[in-house]
This record gives sequence, C-alpha cells and structure tokens, in this order.
Amino acid sequence: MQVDRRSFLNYCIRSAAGLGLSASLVEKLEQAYAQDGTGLPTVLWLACANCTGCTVSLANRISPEAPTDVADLLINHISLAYHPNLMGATGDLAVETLKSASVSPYILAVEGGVPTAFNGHTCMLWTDGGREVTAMEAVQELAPGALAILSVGTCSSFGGIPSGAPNPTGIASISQLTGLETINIAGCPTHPDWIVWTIAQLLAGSYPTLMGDGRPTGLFGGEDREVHERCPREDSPRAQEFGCEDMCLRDIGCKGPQTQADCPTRKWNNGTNWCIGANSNCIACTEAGFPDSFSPLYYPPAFVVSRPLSITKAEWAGEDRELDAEGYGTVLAVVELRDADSGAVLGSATVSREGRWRIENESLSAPPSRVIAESGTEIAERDVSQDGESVGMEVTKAEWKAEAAELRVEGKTIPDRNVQVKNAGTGLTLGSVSSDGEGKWVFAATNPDPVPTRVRAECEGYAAERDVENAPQEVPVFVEITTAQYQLDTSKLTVDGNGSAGRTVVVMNASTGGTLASQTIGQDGSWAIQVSNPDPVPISVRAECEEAFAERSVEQVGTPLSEVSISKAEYRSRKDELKVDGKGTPGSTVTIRDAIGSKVYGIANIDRRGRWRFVKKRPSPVPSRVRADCGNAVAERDVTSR
Amino acid sequence: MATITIMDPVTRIEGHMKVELTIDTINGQQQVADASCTGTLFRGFEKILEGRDPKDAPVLTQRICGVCPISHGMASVLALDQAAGSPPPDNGRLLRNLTLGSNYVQSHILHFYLLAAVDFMHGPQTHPWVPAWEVDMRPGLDAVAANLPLAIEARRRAHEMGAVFGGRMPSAHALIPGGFTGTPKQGKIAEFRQQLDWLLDFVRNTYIVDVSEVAAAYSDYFDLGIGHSNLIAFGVFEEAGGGKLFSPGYIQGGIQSPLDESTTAEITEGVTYSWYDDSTNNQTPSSGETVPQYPKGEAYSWLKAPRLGGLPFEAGPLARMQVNGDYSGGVSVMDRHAARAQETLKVAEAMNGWLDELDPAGPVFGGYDDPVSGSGIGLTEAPRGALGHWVEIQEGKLSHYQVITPTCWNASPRDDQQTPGPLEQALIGTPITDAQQPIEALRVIHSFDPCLSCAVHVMEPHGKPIVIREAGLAFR
Repeated sequence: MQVDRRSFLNYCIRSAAGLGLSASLVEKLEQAYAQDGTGLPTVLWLACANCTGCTVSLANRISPEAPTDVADLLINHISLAYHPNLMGATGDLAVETLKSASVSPYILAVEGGVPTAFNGHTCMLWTDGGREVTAMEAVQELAPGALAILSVGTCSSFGGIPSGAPNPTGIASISQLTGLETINIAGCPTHPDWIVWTIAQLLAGSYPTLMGDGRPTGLFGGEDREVHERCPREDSPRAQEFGCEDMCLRDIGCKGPQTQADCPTRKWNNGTNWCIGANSNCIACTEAGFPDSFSPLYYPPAFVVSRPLSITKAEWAGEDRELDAEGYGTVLAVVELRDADSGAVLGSATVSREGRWRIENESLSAPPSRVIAESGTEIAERDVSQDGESVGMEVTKAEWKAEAAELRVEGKTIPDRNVQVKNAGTGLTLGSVSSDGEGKWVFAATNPDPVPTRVRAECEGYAAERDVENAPQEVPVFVEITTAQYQLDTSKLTVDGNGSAGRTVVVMNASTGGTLASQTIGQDGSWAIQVSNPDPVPISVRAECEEAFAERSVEQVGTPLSEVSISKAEYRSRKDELKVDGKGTPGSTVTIRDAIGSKVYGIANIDRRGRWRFVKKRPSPVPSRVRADCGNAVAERDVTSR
Repeated sequence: MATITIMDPVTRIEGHMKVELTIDTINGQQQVADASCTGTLFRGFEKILEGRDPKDAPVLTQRICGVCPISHGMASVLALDQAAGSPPPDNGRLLRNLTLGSNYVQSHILHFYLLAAVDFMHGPQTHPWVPAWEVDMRPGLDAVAANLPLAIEARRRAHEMGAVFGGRMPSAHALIPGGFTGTPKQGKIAEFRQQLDWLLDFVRNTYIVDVSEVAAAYSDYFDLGIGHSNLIAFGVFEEAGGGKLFSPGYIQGGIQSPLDESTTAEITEGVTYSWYDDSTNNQTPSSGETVPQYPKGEAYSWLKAPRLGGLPFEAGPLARMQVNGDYSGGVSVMDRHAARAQETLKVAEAMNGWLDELDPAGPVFGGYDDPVSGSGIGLTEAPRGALGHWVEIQEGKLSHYQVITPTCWNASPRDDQQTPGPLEQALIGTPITDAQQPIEALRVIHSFDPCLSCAVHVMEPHGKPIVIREAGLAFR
C-alpha cells in the first residue's frame, strides 16, 4: 500500500476527465507536490449521527487504470490521522492521536449530522479524562480551527434522514451548528468521486465555488445538472408500474426533475449502474429537503392506494365568499361535490396521485349547510363550518405536573391529523400526537429538558400557544468572563468565567461570531474552555448563555512561533484575478481570507526560502483588504486594484 | 487491585459503542472481571418512520447502517410483503437474494481484513493504521498482511456485483415491497457471474486460507471469548417452496430448537439499563415503544436488551452455521472468524445457483396493494446476525415500527435479572497482559463484528475513573 507521492498525481491526470478536474487544477497539484509535499494537511474524520455509508461508499473508488485506489489518495497523500472505522489506535490512544494531529493544519471531514437534543448525549464520540465527549462538543471544538470543513453526505450537509420529522434527536447540520461555511458534499450516500474531486481542489490551493446551499458548483451546479435533464430516459414512454426496462419513472415518483447531481453520466460503483438504471426512482438524496420535502417517495399508480372516499374539511370563508372542501379518495377518480339540501353541483375534481382531492367554489352567494361528495358508488357527507366557528388550532390546557415530572398539553384541531407540540421559547419540537375523529388531542411528555414555560401546537399551517401552568420558575441566567488569554507559543486560547450552573455556555469569536467551544457550566458555577489553534485568533471573545452574554478582549501572552507578512496584494481587474505575495515560516501553510476573516479564498504553501504566492481567479467578492494566517501569526494588507 | 479500563472510542467497528472493563487478578491471573457495553448513538429511526408512507420504509431503513443496508431493506420489504399479502415473484425473490448475497461477501471481507486483522498483525506503517498499541504480535502472518490491497479490491468488486441488479451500492432501492425493480437481462446475468467467479476464487484461495493462518498462529483463541454460548438465527435467503438457505433456529444449553412464529413472539426487549422510559420494559417488538430518557438512574446504553425466553442470545455467522449444521466447532473468538469465512463461501456458491434459476423473460414485480391497515414481521439476517423489523399500518400510514438489530442482541446491556449481554459475558474471564492496552479484549469485541461505535475506559470498582494519563483540556 506504500505509494510514492507521484502516483497520486498520475492518478489525478489519468482520472482527470472522469473526475472533472481541469488541466489548470492538475497543474496546480503538480506545483503543490513539487514543494516536497510539505503543507499537505491532515484529515480528521468525525463520525457523528451517521450510518458509515459514506465511508463505505468512499472505499468504492478505485480507478481501473490506476495502480492504487482512493485509500491511497487519502492515506498516502493526505494524512488520515483520525477515522474511527479504519484507524489502528483505539480508546485513549485514538483520542491522543486526534489531539496531537489537531495541532497542525487540518481539514475536518464530518460524516453524519449532530444531535442537539438531550444536550447532545445521544451521540458520544469518545471519553477524555473520564468524561464522555458529545459530537456537539467535538464539532464545535474542531470546526473553527479547520482549514476547510467537508460535510460528507446529506446528513452533515443538511440533516438528512435522522432530521426527518419529528427530528427526535434535534439533528443540526454542521453549518447550522457552527455558523461556519462548510463544503457540502451531499448524497445519501455521497459519491466517492465527489469527495475525491473536492479534496483535489483543496490540495491544489483552490477553495471550490459553492452554491447558495453550500454544495460545490462544480459538482451540483449549472443549468444542465438536473438529473431528469441528463437522464437517457428523459423522452422515453412513462412507466406506470415497477420493473419496466428503459422507461421514464416520473409517473411513479422519480425525483429526477427536482434533483441536481451528475449521476446519469457519472453512474455508481465505477460505472456499473445507477438507481434509474435498475428501474428504481431517483429519491433526491442530494437535496437539502431530503427526505421530508420529497415524501412520499413513490406515487401511485405503481402502488395503487384506494382510500375510502372522505371529506376531511368543508369550510365557508364569509369574507371571501369561498367554499373550500378537501378529502381522500381513489387515485385518479373524479369526485363531485353537491349541496346536500338542494342537490346543486358545487364543483368536481380528480383525486391526486397522493390520494387527495380539493374543491374550491367562489361563485356562491350563501354557504350550503351540508355537502355531499360522490365518486363512483361511494358517498361521503360533512357539515360546512363557517368562519369563526371552525377551529384551526386551539390549546385548551397546558400543565406541568411536578410530582410525575410530566408535561400535559391538550387541544383541538382538524380531525385525524398529526399535531407537532413545541417549546414556544426554544422552538424545539417536544413530540407529536394524532388528533382523534373529533379533532381532540392529548400530548404528554416526561422529563422535558428544559421544562417549557410556554408551549406551541402546530398542524398544517395552524398554530396556537399557551402558557404552561405550574411551570418551574425561571432563574435569571447570567454569564461572565474572568480571563481570556491566547498563548502565542502553544497557540492555545484559554477562556474562564462564571455563570448559571447547569446551563450551556457558548464561547465565540466576538468579531466573526464563529463558535469556538461550548460547555455545560459546573455545579460550582464556573466554566473554563481551552481551544487549540483558533483560526482566526480572536481579538475579543464573547460568551453566551441563553439570553445572557459577556465580552472580553483577548490578552496575548508568550512569544509567537510563526511568522507571516504580506508584501503585495493586488487585484487585476482585466484578468479578474487576486494576487497576494508574502513571506513566512518556511514549510508552513498560509490561509488567505478577507480582512473580516469570514471568507476563505484558499491556502498557499510557504516554500523553503520562506516565500509564498497566492493567486485566485475570479475572487468573489473582490476583497478590499486581505489577511494571511500562518499558525498563530497574522498579517493584513489593503488590496490595490490595477 | 482492580482497575477499570474504558475503551472509548472502540475503533474498527461500525457505529458508536463504548466498552468498560473491570480488570483484576483472580487465581493469580490478571483477567476481565466484569464488562459493560454502551451503545453511544441514538437516532430515533422508529420515531421518524411513524406516520410515513409504508413504502418509504425500505429506503429509509437502509440508512440505519451503511455496511448492511440491504439487510434492512430486506427485513422491511419482507414485513410489508406480509402486511399486504403480496409476495414477490420468483425473479424478485432471487434478485433480492443476489443483491443481499453480494453485500454479505463485501461485509465479511471488509470485517476480516480492514476491521479485525490489525488485532493479529501489524498493519501498514502509516496513518490511519498507526499509531497502534505496542503489543506482542505473533510472527508468520506477513503473507496475510500482504493481501490487504487484494482484499480491498475484492470488497469493491462485491459492491459492483450488487449494483448490477440493485442499481448502486451501498444502498440499493431496487428492493421494493412486492418484488424488485431491476430486471435479469442476459447481459446483466453474465456481468454478475463474471464478478462472482472472481470473488469465489478469492474466497476459496485467499480469504479462507488467510483465516486458517491466523487461527493457527492464535489457536489459543479457540478457548477465549466463549460467553453464554446461546445462539440464535432468524434465517435468511428465501428459497423456492418457502424454505431458507439458512433456516431459523436457536441453540441453548447445547440443545437445538426450531424458531417458529410462536417462539418469536416470546422475544422481549429490556430497558432497565437502557436510556428509555421504564414503562417500556420487557415489551415485545410488535407492541414496544421507543421513548428516550436521558439521563436515567443506572442506565448505561442506548441499546435495548433483547431476550428470548428471558435469556440473552448471540447472533451472527457462527449462529447461522451451527444452527444449520454447517459448522461443527465451538463458540469462541476464532470460531467466529472461521465460521464467517466458511459462510462467505456457502453464500457465494448459493448465488451461482440463484443466477441459474433466473428467468430473463419473467416478471420481477408482482404488484402491491397498499393495505389501509395491517401488520407484518420481516425476519432476516444481516451479515453480523439476526435482524427483525416489526411493522404496523393504520389508515395507510406506518403507525408503529420497531427494529431489532444483531448488535442489539450481541452488545446488549444487562437485563432486569442482571444477566450480562453476550459480548459482556464473552469478555468476562479473558486474560489481560497489559490493562492499559487490553488487546485480548479488543480481539473478543471484534470477533462479534459489532455494528456500533464502542469505547473501553479504566476505573476503580464502583468508583471514579483513574487518570491513566494527563487529563487533556482540549476536548472536554
């Protein structure tokens, strides 16, 4: 498995077309390797609320013409120091390995979203000094210092299946949790080529351009990236049931028209096949709303759903003089709605592929008191409710029973629907419950943490709130910072303070807002955090504990280890190119950002003579001032335009 | 004096788990005196599934595990087939088997070479294989270590084989209730057979040979990691006429019994030591609920404790092979590896037969009428053991979904009778040379091929953790 560094380059050149790597990128890779391989960053791979599917998928990348597979790319050419499924070390030695690797520049790859319910304790990654570390803490600790954050797969990019309603563990994506920009290599699982492509860009010092949702434009963007547009079956006859070869699957629920990915041309398992190639639907697994925005995944008629005819709603909106009726029925059957008293026809509709129908009538002068729906031989009836008397959502009772540690919430809404009950203060879902045939619902939860002082119930756009009776009194929350020091020689930031015991304090860079760490405040009311290699090094820090906050400027102590300076920073408008030159500690890596520190333009390697050069084509936005970070050293310079 | 060693994370497994060992000297031998296993990840799949279209379940449950997604897809479609009374046509059954079989082959190869082998020999001297514990590795296994690149290729080929009919791996949506979506065109059959022939050669002439080499060098491990020796199999790979390639059954106290529907109904899940509400203790999967509660008293795991007739059972290739009379050895670390390798060959050879049975002109999908209400049980086997999905449908939606995974059987916590789970019991009594590098315990853990992330820690009995190194601040 030992491979010289050249073979990585050969691998890239041979695979360039397949991977979509441009000639200039391959050239940059060559330059990166010509510099003796220094500055090749470490990759730390965290497994959060994941299924390991993205790791297994990554292992499927092997190029028939290359002598080695992607394991070589990762293992021999970047240093995969921490990967829980593959690494030799276990237990404390694994944790030590992670810690020592995180001292040098690293790329953070995260597989799986991060649970935030139960204070993050539904996903614990390791034990350090006898203390279990949650995924939430680990990501908040390691993300701010990373050269780049790769959200590998849809779960870490957008939440994915574990975040599907009712999101029982409060899954957050990496960017939601940290507030930092992540490169979202989406897919459930993600395609190994997409990971390789992204890492190749970073190794070449080229931070990929991202779409609004954080996915690389080069992989998921562009007008012709819609799966359906590129699908060889786009214009084929449409299948009406499963198991039909070479037919378009749109009518049975294929999500190709709503999905952006290059699967139709790239295919999977080294070109063996792809989902639609096996006559199975595209399920939109690369999209931000997956799975809830694309459920149900299958439509009739592939699976015929014949539900009894029913009217679930019949309402008269007096102000708009509009009758609105909805219900279920046999798929694609016609439903006719009539006035139950006069027999007059009020409208008709075809039952959708999801089994629902809706009829609206705006031409009536007065509402019928009762309506009848007819479809084939089936009949359903319902009284028409009028403005004011229809209950969208009502919370009739909300009580905390301390002796049973139980929260009980009752209310009324549309019959036979799913009601989401939330903590109105935090917005987090407590759970869901179904309303009965009369619309009544009763929700109970034991030991909600925290006990809400006000609850909110939601159902299909209706919502209502109510204060919780007997809720525990809230103690005013406070937080303060007593010391904030940055140790220049060890690159460690230490922040200590006091606050409300048992609450979570979040410490962030006061200028950028980026989270540095979070911690549960001890029973003695004190807290202390230490962050290795904060990047950028904060000028001042901010501690937040719910509504309370405190700020303090960071005192720099000790002597700096790294050096960096910028000798020239110019933007050539004719070439639309940003060029930054400078000096620094030989063999290190420089990260180029805008002066605020939020936008990363890329990284550059400092050569043996202590010089570096960074060129970025089409920088967006064009910075007026840039900053260079090298280890714990920072330099800034205004950008001149020519 | 006893020490408590905590391994967290236990690496080279799938998922999240932690193991805590009490190590003490008993009768002059330092050994594991007690052990507890903790599942450290809860995602709430059962909750997420409630209220959804039943047909979405095979797709969503495949994401319970990225190493054995096809097994979850299989359990789900079997449960829905039963609920709707829509069994697949022969082609559908065979294509499901072939796709699942492909994943068995990749999973077993992955386990031996990438997850377990480094416990017995030095891996490549580069990240991520180093650093590793500095422990005594026995000589003579260089040829086995040299087969790692070939094994990586074999695993990759097994996945490509699964994608021929399944569309893509690791997760394949071709498994649907009522049948399968991919069709057995002649060209596809030939493509599949070409990969299978290559893999049969690898399994016969490399994998099985390598496992024998390791077994010879570590023959004392035929006497370690024995545990309760209760074995259970739900059975897997539906054959024509209603039988299965591996029949269901269980072995308890050396006596073999069949596992029929009435016995299956005696499976309960304990939550005394699990982070779930005690009101859900010892319920059957068909009625059991998942109500998380953290923290909770002496609970220490997100795994529930499944029991049959109140007893813990070990699941996996060894259980399947012994229940079916295909393996005559005992129950131990090395028996688990040997049975897994021999099972790979049995499955791959059966796949050759299923390919012959395919009818290129026959249907793959037999139709599926969504039941307005109904229930179904899908019992199958993941590569690492017995797997079941329990499904209930009301008003056309999933009203209840429960899953028992093989690792729930194997790595389960104690039950209300204080009986340790199978892996916990197998660890107890294992001799340990170095309490800070308990490689012997890691070999026991990996032999089960656990499917979650584990961890092992060092503590005083009933007491606080001993700091066996400088406590770091960086990751608290």
